[in-house]
Amino acid sequence: MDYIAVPVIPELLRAKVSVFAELYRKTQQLERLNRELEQRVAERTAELQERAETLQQLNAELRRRNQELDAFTYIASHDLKEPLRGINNYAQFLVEDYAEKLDDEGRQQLGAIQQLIRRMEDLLNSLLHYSRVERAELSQKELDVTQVVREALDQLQARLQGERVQVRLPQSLPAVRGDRAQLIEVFTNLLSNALKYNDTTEKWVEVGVQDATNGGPPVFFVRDNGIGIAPEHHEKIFEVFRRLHARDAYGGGTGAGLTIVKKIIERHGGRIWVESTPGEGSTFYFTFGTGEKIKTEE
Amino acid sequence: MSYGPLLIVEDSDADFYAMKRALGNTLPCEIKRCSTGSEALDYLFRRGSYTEAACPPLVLLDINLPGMDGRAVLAQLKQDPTLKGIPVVMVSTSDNPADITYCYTAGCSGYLVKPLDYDRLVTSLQTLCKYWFKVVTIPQTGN
Repeated sequence: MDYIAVPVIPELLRAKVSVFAELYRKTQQLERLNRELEQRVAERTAELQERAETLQQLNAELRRRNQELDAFTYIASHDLKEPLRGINNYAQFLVEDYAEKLDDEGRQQLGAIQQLIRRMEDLLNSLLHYSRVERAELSQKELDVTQVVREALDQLQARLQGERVQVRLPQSLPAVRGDRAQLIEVFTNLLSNALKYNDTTEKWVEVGVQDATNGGPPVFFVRDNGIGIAPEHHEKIFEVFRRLHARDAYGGGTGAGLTIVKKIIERHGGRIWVESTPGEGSTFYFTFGTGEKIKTEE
Repeated sequence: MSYGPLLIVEDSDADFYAMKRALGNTLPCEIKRCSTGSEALDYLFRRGSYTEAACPPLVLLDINLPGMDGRAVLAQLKQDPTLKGIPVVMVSTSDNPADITYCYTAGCSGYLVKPLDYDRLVTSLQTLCKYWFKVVTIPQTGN
C-alpha cells in the first residue's frame, strides 16, 4: 500500500538508478583489476620459477666444475706422478747399474735429470696442496691467535734455532674465528718467508695487531727486516709458482706459499696486502673475516 | 715356514720392476704378479687358468688399476669367508685421506703411499715385508 501512497519522484529515481549504475561499473572495474592482478601474480610466479630453475642450473654447473677440479687434482696427484716415479726409478737404476760405464759428463747429466724430477715432484705436491686448501672443509672455531702463532713458531723451531733470529710477539692478540690448521699454516708460511728472505746478521720478525680501526676486523701483521719487495712485485708475489729470485736462491721453494696464504685468508673472508721498502723489510697485513662476529661475542 | 707366493697386483711395468728390485732376495717366498684387478680375483678365487693357484701369504694391492680398481678387489676379498683372512696392504700413489679411510674401513691391513724416491721405496717395502714375514705371525698358506 505504501508504494502506492508514495509518489514517484523522478529525480530520486534517476539518482537511485545512477547510483546502481555506478556500483555496477565499479564492480566491473574491480573484477577487471582482480583479473589483471591474478595475471600479474601468475606472470611473476612463472618468472620466479624460471629464476629458481636458472639458479638450480647454475648450482649444478658449479657442482660439475667442482667435480672437474677434484678430477684434476687426482690427475695431478696420481696420473702425473706415476710416470714421474718411473722416470726417477730408471734414472736411479742407471746410476746403480751403469754409473761406472759413464764418464763424468754422463753422470752429471744423469744427476741433472734426477734434480729436475725432484723439482717436478715439489711442484706437483704444491699444486695438490693448494687445491686441497681450496676444497677442504673449514672447521671454524674461536681461536686465540697468540696460541696459533706459538704453534706456528713451534713448527719452525728447527729453522729458528739454526739462525739467530729475534721473534717479537706481544702478550696477547685478539681472538678470531677460523680453522685452526689453516690459520697456523698462514703464520708458518709468513714467518718462514720472513726468515728466508733476510740476509742481515741481526734478523728479527715481529707479529702484532694494528690499533683497532672503527668497527673493522683486527688487522694482524708479520713484519721483518729482510730484503724487502719492490713495489712492482707487490701483487705478483701472490700468484701461484711465482718466484722473484733464482731457483735455488734464498733456500729455494716452489713459490706456492703466499698463494696458499692468500687462499686461506680469502676463504676466511679476509684480505692480505703488503707494504715494503726494498733493503729495509716487509710487512704483511691481513684480516680474517669481517670481525663482526667476534665483536658481538665480546 | 713355507708360503705361497707374495701376490703383487700392479698394472705398471715400471712400478712392478721397481718393487721387485726393491725387495731383491729378502723374501721367504716367490713373487706372483697380476696386472689387473680381475686377474687378481681369478688368481685368488682359483678361476680360469688359476685353478691350481697357491694361496698368497700377503697381497700388495695397487689402488689405481685399469677396469676394476683396487678398492673393488679389496671389497670382494673381504666379503669372502676364506680369503678375508689374507692380509692385504694397499699400495698407491694417492695419499688422499678419502682413499685411505675407505681402504681401512673396507678391511685392508696397511696402506703404503708409493714414495717417489727409490731408496725410500726399498726401505718401506723391506720393512713392510719384514713385519709380515718376520715380526708378526700370519696364517701358513701354500695351497
